[in-house]
Amino acid sequence: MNERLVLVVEDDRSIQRILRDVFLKEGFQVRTALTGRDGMVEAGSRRPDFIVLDLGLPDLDGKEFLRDLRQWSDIPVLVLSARGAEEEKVLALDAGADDFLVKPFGVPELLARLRALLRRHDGRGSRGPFYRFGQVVVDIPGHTVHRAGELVRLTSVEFRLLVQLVRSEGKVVTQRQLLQEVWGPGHCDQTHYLRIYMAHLRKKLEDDPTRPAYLLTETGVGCRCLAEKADIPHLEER
Amino acid sequence: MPPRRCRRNTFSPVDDRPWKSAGPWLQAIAICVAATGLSFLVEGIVGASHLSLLFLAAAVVASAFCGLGPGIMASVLAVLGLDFFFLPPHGSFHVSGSDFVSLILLLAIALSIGQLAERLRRQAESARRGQERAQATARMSRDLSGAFSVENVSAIALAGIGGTFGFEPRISLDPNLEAPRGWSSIPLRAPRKTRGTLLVPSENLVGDDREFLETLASLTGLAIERIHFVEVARDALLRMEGERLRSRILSTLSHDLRTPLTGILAGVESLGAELDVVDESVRGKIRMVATEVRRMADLVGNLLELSRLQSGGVVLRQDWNSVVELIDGALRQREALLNGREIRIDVSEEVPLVWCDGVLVERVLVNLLDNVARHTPGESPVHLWAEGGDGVVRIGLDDGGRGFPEEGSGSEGRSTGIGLSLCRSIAEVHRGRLETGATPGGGARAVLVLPQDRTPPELPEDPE
Repeated sequence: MNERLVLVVEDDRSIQRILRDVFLKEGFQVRTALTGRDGMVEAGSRRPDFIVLDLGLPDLDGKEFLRDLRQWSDIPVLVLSARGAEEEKVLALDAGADDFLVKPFGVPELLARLRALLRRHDGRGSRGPFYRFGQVVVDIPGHTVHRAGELVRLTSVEFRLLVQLVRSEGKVVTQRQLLQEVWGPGHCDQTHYLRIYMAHLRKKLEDDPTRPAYLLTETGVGCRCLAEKADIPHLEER
Repeated sequence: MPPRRCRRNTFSPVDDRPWKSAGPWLQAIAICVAATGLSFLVEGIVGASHLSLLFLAAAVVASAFCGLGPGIMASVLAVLGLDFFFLPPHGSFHVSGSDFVSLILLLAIALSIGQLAERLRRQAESARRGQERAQATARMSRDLSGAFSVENVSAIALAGIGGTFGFEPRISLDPNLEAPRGWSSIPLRAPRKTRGTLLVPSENLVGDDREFLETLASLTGLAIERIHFVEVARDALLRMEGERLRSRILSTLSHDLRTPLTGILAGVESLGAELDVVDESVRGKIRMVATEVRRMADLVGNLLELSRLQSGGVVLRQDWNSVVELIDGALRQREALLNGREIRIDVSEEVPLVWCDGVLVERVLVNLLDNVARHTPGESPVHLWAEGGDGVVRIGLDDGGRGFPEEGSGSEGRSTGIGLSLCRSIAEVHRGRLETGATPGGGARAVLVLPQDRTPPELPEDPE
């Protein structure tokens, strides 16, 4: 895990210094950039394993940065943004950001997000057939979902939605992305579909549907499912 | 450029109202007298029978140049003069049978020519007036097209109309103005609505003047309407600019205020980690600083949001939201703060989806939770509930504390200020309200009431 390179693109020098110290202490190598343009140059020449991007850069819109970056790289990017700027977050996520963190954030929170992103990124490319969260196992090729060993009957839309969520392994998927993937491009503003089907999924898969532990909604942004790839499906012998 | 004054009377040799001036009548008499005199002179040279041509000429000339009335008079005078002075018996109006016929013919010819001349003159006059009015209309519409204010428009219209008609009209922007005595009102009609009233002295209106004035009046109305819409467009542009500026200032402010807080929080936390502090009191202080910084950040966020909402022109990002998800989102944001409390949620499946700005409504719940955490003992339970019906959805939060502090009662009253103000503002922009009161058990109850005036569309078919 060591000798990984983190690129911090942040225009505030003191935050930049603190982030550098935090990452150095965790055993990462750190490069920093104060502007979006410098950040692009650094990202191109150093090939970092991870980018922390502030959305309030003076010279370049965070979305432009992400669009440029995503043309040649799938380096995980964590964006930092202010609370209340949900629209900005959605645009950044749609432009290719992997996750977001609201300012001001705590250090443990930051490190947790970073590790989750790296873990997900390491496993990328080998999209698993099986995913697991809590007592639920999702078998994508088999089109089945088991909860605590028992088969759960899902409608085809419920299953498609669940697949989109588990495949993102904890990453927020924006409402737009979900509606487009599950219902089709003509349904991007039918947000009530999502509300109703998320409620169905929670009812069938969560212990307490009112306080979900895995199928979470980020209001104004999208949804996430805290699922992981599973090597062996934990199924009872049929 | 002052409008060219052109009183139509100066162009016309004969007024429409010839009795007003004695000139043409005298001219007609003079012509007849001259013809009589000339006849005496040439009587010896030409025969008396030929003198009738001279009198006919006089009658025609008078008819042609002096107008209809004087022309008729001249014709009669010419016939009488010829009869009296030159037809036998001289000095008497007696006339022989053949002369009588020629006299009648003479009169008939003179009168017919007079009629024809008059008709021609009228046609020429009306053509000239038509041209004059076309020119006046064109001139006024050209001048009005350059006008930049309503005052400007009415000045141009007054000068144009006054110049054409020779009287002083008045313009009022009141479309329903009652005309005072002796004045006629003509509406300034424009495509969208009547923009005002033109007042003209009634006595000056003759013939088709009214129609012409109505044309000029609508030209004026059109110009006023154009200026009105220019102003509307400019105001809209200014407002848009203002909103853009305001939102840029707020977002810059938000960034600038949060950046140092982010620095402090990350700094304090990494300090705690770096020192590997064993001293529990130091770690407690670091935790306290971190908590206070987060509170400060929330305060800043509430303040900015409040000023955004209160400055008006807020665009709500409304879509369908589930009350359960909003409650859960708020609880996750305040997980650490509510640590250890018993939290009960009662939201039945009958509660409908709510059409609202989910981020703002979640903020209301977060602020209410903050309030609970701050004003109730650490172990007191929290009860969140929702119910629908009667065109509203009610989302409530009950706690086991001592109820809401009285308005303005010391420090506690102040500390709830910003958070609750923001909650109220958010409720208002949704056309809803925030109700605060007490639970039956004596705790505080806050209820967010949101209007439920639309239902989500049907879902598509979904086979199992």
